[in-house]
Amino acid sequence: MGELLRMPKEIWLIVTDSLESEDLVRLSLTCRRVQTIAEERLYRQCNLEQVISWAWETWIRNKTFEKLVHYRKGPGRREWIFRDIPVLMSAALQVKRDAVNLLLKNDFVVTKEAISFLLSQGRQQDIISTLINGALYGYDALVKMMVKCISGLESAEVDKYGVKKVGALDIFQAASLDRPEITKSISLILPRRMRQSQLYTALVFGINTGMLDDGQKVKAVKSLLAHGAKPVDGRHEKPLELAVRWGYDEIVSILFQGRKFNSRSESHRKAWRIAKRRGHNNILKTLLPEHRVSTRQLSSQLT
Amino acid sequence: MSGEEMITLKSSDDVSFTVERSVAERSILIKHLLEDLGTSTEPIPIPNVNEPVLNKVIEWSIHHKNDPPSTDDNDSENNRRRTTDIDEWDQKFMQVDQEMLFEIILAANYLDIKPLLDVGCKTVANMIKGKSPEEIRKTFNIQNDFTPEEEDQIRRENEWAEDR
Repeated sequence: MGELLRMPKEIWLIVTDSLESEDLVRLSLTCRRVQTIAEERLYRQCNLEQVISWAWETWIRNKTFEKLVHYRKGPGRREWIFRDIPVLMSAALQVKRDAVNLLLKNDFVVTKEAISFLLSQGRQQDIISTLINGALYGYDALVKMMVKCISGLESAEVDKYGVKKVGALDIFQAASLDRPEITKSISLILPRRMRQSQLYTALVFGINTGMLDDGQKVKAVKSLLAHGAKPVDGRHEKPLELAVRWGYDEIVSILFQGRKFNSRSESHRKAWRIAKRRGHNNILKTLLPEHRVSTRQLSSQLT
Repeated sequence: MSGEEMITLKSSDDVSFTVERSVAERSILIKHLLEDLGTSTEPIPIPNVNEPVLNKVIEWSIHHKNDPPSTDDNDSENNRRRTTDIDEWDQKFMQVDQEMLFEIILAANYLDIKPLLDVGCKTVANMIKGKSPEEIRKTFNIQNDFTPEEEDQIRRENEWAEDR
């Protein structure tokens, strides 16, 4: 019997330390005892995302995945699981339903630390996209976990990371899902000083986009306003003006709710002019519900 | 011969070797022992290592006695070696039969001589690299206990690692 087989495990680990994946695979095929050792190293050093993508493109995925979970979840492997969390989310991003379910079934849970880690890496976008996909594709357990972790984040910690990359349209889309907890989570992963401007930008881009239907837009606008977006801020064309331009009666009504027409406000005047020019009579009524001033009078004042 | 303190090591088969303290202290186990004992003229028994192996270990330690102490990188899985580069002298030193190679590795592990352990393990890794399973079996005299079906199954399960 070869002496190699009698080597203690700690020696094996050092030997396999120097081997690439291909060599570990070949080594795993030599005999049962060596298989366990070589595979342990193989699955611990592997690129988890690569294995997940591969496993789900082929039909032997369950067996490969069982191994992956088995070797990465031994005693004292908590830190590995922690590093695997982004992969769980990545699987959700790629809409790999079975992968997400299997990961969750095997206690690959999202932690507050994992969310902080992603924020520190500037991966706000991934968090938002995972929440969107989670909601769209029914990964309820994952969404619930993420929402809980995000609500436990300290504002100071989030402020520290800043915003590296956030898609305004993604925020708008997430808000359109009619899941207040998701919009709230998004606002919580944005630093306080940037929160308003990010939500505002989402509002602007969202109203302009042709990617969502009117119903979704209305839900998103309501949700964003509820979480602090200001409809008449900003230097350029305001959400109110955009909504008027595209004739979104309901959105105009939501954005304008509780406000009185202020003829000194440049934004209000501009919105009125747009509505007038485009013949959006319903919107004109929204802007001037009480008709205290006749349209004709106002027209002469404002144009 | 310098004026350095001399230490006597006694192998498991009762053969004594007298070496400079700096040579003996390449072994962290012996270093700590000497620190605990203070100055000792008594031979230090090395019960797990026989004469030919201790001789090789001492040969290696003499050659490397002036090397800087190895950094204790705690060998975490984040900090993996991954290289199989071996110094030319060490390569020649490791040109021994397999039984001796594994005995050196075990002795280095027991005596806590990390650089020697590394060289030994890298030598074994180099003997595995690039070989087919059958060639590895032949090299290390491993008995294949898989059925052809099991082998095929394992190959398919781990195919991702070769599919890059």
